Amino acid sequence: MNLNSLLKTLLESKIDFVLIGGYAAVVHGSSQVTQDLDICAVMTEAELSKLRTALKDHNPKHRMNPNFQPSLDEIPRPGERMNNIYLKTDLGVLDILEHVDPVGDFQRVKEKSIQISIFGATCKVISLDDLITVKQSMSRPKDKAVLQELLALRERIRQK
Amino acid sequence: MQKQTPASGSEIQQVNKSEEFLVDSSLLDFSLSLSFEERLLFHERARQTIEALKAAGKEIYNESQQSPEDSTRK
Repeated sequence: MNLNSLLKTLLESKIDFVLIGGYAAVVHGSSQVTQDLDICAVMTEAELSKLRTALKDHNPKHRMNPNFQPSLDEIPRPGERMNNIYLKTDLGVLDILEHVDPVGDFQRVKEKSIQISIFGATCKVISLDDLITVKQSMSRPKDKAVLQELLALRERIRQK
Repeated sequence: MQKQTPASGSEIQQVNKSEEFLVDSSLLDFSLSLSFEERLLFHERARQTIEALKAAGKEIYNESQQSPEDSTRK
């Protein structure tokens, strides 16, 4: 498992995505460890094709139902579209969300995203304000811990 | 809202005013001192270390589960 390799693979694939979740928090300065990679993207047929190509050597499977975990190549079927895709791969867990509650859809998240240079590519990352808004809507203890760090980081930026 | 007294030592220095949570600013300082790539690499290493520790913990737990007769000896 190697989430950094997974991120590099996605960047090389030229999929249009915004990094969200725990990795985005790390980019903004959080010290919390995350177990998966979350991105916001719209999986049109073209984007899905890029994703399948990018992950073809990494055994991507849908992971939400422990009794039925088809390959990404099988599902979605031609003509089908999935708003959210939850995968496990040999490089780690990848969640793809089309909509980030309560911020908005991909276009909205992308509009306010920041761009960073990483692994030789440009990566869009959810803005700190939007990430804080997301964490404020969540109730898990680990999200509350990340929220406090993010609020502290934003305060530092404002004081500069 | 009750005021919290920060723990002694320099580890916990910042109190977020809107919530009663303490943030370890030394960790933030370290994280911000790294480039994005360094930060993700450091994060990945931390995650791998945690996975290794979890695996080691499971081994110990499984060993104690496999020898219940030991618990009867005083």
